[in-house]
Amino acid sequence: MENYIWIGIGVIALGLIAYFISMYNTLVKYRVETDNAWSQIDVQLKRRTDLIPNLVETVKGVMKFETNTLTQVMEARGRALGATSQRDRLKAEGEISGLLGRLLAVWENYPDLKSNRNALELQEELTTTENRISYTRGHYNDVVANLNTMIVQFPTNLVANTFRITKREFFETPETEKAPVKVSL
Amino acid sequence: MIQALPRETVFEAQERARRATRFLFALVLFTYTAIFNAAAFACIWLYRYFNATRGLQLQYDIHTDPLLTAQEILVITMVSTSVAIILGWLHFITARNQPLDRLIKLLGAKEADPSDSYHARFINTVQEAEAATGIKPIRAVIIPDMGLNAFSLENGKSERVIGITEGLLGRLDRSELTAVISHEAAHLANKDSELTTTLYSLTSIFAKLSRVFGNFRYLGRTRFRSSGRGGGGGLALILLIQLVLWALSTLGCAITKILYLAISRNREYLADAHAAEMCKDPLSLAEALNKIAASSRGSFPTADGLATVFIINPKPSLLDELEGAWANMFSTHPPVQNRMKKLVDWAKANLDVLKKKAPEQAEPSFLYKDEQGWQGPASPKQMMTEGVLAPQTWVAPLGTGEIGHAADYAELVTLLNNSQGETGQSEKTIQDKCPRCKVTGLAETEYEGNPVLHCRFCKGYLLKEGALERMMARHEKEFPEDEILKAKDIWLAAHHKKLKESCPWPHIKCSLCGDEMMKSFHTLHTRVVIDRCLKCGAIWCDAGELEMIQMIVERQNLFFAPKRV
Repeated sequence: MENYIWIGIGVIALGLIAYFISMYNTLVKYRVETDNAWSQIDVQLKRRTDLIPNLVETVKGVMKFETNTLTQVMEARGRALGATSQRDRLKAEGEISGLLGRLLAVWENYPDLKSNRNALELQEELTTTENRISYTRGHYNDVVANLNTMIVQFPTNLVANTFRITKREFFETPETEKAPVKVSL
Repeated sequence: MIQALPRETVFEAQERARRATRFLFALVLFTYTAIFNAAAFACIWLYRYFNATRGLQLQYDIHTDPLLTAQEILVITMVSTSVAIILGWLHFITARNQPLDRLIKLLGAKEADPSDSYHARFINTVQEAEAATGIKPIRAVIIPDMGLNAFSLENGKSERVIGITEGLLGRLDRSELTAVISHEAAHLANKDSELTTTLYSLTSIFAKLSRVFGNFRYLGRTRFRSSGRGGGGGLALILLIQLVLWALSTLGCAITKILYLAISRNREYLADAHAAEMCKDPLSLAEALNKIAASSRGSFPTADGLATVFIINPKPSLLDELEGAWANMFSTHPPVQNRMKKLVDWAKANLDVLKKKAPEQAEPSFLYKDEQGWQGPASPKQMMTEGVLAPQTWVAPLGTGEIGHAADYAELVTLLNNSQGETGQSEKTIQDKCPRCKVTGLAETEYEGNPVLHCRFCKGYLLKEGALERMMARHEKEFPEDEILKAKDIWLAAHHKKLKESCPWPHIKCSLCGDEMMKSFHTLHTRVVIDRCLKCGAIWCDAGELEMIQMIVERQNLFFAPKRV
């Protein structure tokens, strides 16, 4: 009779240990996913940085009234590439988004661009890159939400506290991007 | 007490759909195991009953009492449940790990071509969906079909694909395309493929069992012994058991199928809601659905069960148009009107917004019936070009439940009258004149899944570049044997002729680019003279030439090169 009790306790203990192990594994998996999602944003930002010189070359001759914007885009790109701190980088990327938004908004004013096949491809590429940046940011926020929820909920918070798995911050839009795009017509 | 909001939000809709799926799936599992258990109990009970009443002599020493003890019940339940689970699992695993390429080929899908701007847009949108859901990689394929539809598939090896038809790709603008792709990506994110494969394999287990047990043909061959121990009684027992098993498996198949359809509809609602959440643009999705619903949804070789992967069921049926509990119970997709209404509600608009921007067909859409069954929907002009419109064709206007002859509907009658008078000048066709006979215009029609231009008068085909090669790979058309033999005679005779003798027709101009076309053999093997445009790659085949090439290529073994004498 006693043996059965010990066996029962042993089984329950093993079950609990397995349960905690699985909780730890899930937490770690979410943390790795968060890191991955963050780097995906970087991938899309780099893609945009690579597209910008091509864009400026293609539209420079046609978009006579936007030379100012085009110069600013190249400068912001330089700053983004050379930024040392995360904050500077985000600020520069935000400026690029605003300037590119303005460019895309006045694209319609130049009918010559519609027949230029390169320009059309570039417009498509820029649109999709901007979309991807926003989607990857959204996905990063989703994954961070999952991780933070797990860290705060019971009983996973016990495991999280034991192994010092901390909450992550959501991606906040930099102020420069929140401002509405000024288009002079 | 928090009251539920009067309008269901996107998130609530998803929660509700997930809960409904869990409930229905539990029902399916319960039914599945219950049927197996019932079958086991029925067999054993029948066996015992026969033993008790007929007194069959057997080797084992068992109770003759038909009632079972509690322990036996437990054992039987566990055994039959395990058998059910193992059988289901095996079937599921084999179905699940099929490579996707087979299904993709079955649908006729090809990889998207980045040099085509529409295809490039599609590829970009799929990659945006990858970024939004975190699911990588997703193959992007295109079905070269003029109908409007899209699908998504995933198999057990995590191979994923999203496909769209050429017709739909050409009709949607960027925001609608994003909405449709996010619907398909939502299916992938919610693992709907896994769910439907599981359910479908359960249904097909019952279907196969039902077919196996439904084979009563041996009865005709067995001779019944008039009386006697063992002979007649044994046969009656087997017969009864087979009958019971057949009844149970048919019942199981029916119940599982209805539940599977219910789950499929739920998942469509879920995917709609998830897509609205992902792309933040439910109005575009509603507009896309509006466009798809009013047009032909593509002709695919729909293997049973493949219809669920599409965004709207490609097989048109009056059931899809009607609403109401009965029609709803047997369809894989919810009624389009309901889906559009929900999406439009989320966009805080109403359906009038859509109706105004309805597709250029301000003309009514009809379903029509030909030898293969109900087709469409199509506009009267499309029906005219495809040559299916005759006064006695059965048609059903879209949206109503009525069916009538084409002669009953005013719009169709005017078209029919116009076409009687002149030869083929009834409506504006795509190209101005047929390059060969110059009598009528070329109409856009479909040949083996390919959009081709066809002359109704001289029966010639104008194919765009690359279309002929695509057709060679497709074996949709069946040729009767006597035609093949005639083709063989022509082919043998052609072997001794030169180019000029083989084809006395004059040179023609390409309708697509205006260049003069060159006469040449298709290949030195087939020796069929076709006209090629050197500038744009278009190919003109006169009457019978395309079929000839197909026959020769498809029946290679018949068409050997004759020995030089």
